[in-house]
Amino acid sequence: MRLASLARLDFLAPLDAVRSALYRALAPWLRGLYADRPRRVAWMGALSVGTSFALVLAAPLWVLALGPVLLGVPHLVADLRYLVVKPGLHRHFVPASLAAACLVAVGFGAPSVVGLFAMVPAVLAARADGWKKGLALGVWLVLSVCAWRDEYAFLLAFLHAHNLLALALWWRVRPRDGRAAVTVLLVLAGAAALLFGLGDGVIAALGGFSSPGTGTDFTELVASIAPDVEPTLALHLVLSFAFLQSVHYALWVRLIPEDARERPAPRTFRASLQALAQDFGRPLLALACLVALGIAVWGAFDLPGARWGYLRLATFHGYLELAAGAWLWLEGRRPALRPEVAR
Amino acid sequence: MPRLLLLLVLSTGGLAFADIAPDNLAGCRGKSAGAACRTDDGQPGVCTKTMVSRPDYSEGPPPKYRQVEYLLCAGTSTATARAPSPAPWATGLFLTLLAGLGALFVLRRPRPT
Repeated sequence: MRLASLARLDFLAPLDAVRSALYRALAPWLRGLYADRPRRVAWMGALSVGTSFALVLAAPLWVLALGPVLLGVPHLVADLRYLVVKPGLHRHFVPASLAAACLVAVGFGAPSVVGLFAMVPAVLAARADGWKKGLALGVWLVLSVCAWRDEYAFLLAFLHAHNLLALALWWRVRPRDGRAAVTVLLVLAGAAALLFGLGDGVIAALGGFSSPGTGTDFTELVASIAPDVEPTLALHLVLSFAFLQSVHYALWVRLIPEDARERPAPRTFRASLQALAQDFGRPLLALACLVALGIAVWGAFDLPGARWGYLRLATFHGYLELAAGAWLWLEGRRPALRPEVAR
Repeated sequence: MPRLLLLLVLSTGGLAFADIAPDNLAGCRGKSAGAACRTDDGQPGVCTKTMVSRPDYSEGPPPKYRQVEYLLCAGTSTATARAPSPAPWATGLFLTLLAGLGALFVLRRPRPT
């Protein structure tokens, strides 16, 4: 009986009841914000970017330490769901297997040229004009040569750039208007403000440059995220990275799912979890939940270790975004949507 | 089968946890000075206290520089060269390709009607 109740996800019913009651109570004031999906996504985007920026100003070290541990695995699940499962990339078995082999190899410590090679089967398998495929292969070649010549510099550049790749993929999910452009402008403005040191005074006033509870400090983070750079610029690069990483998580965990849902209206928590289980299958979803829980528990005992462990696990996903993004672009399809919805 | 492929990617990614590359700092994590350790390249060594100058950002930019004591793994002169082992990622790539080919074989088998 209890198992049947668990399978029906009854434990989410109280949460759904509370949310419905809130919607009903606030409807007279907030209906205009919620009723229309593009408007909803626009204000959710602005709110997510604003929250990320405020958190970086208030506690940048906590953002860097906790973000990957708490949101890392959910964002990887969203990555696979909206770039692979929903568009049906995994149904192209041979190219998907070859690309997966490259991504797995990266997980075992293969150099970045192997991860970049995942683009090749994706490009060759795509149904597209020859010139577009040639262009995509040209991009792959340039990236591979850069990675081959200086692996370390390439990895650092890719680490920073892949946060913006998610922004580009989100922009492609649905046709956009000026309201969505506000989100993009806010992201660019926030990153630029941190890069030019405009947040330093606030961070210093709030004591954000030192948070011993995180088990890490900016000395260590500068050495791993922005080494060999003038020290002040390096610090600003790390702050900008913290902000963009936070936005990256918000895009995958909140905004892309909002845009990718077939029906425009929000659905219940129970319906959302059922849809996720339908996309992945319960065993795979259970595995993802176990990994997420394991990293969170690990973080409770050893936060820097858990962050490092997650980053090792997630190495593949930047290359996945690149390969799947190339395939979707070549096929003229939108990420996150099933083919029949995208048309 | 496509889900199996996804499962493979996720589960083998998890195996990478066992392959966190050590460095001279990581080799001495949780140890005391004089303890045996392994260096970056897997050579035996001894944990040794070393002073390193590092930027301190705790008061914001520009950083102040301070001497920090680290416990680093210093290789011992008696270390003997180890035979090179195949890169773990190459093994992973090989196993995954093998699994992919096996899955392809299973997929192409005529299904009983």
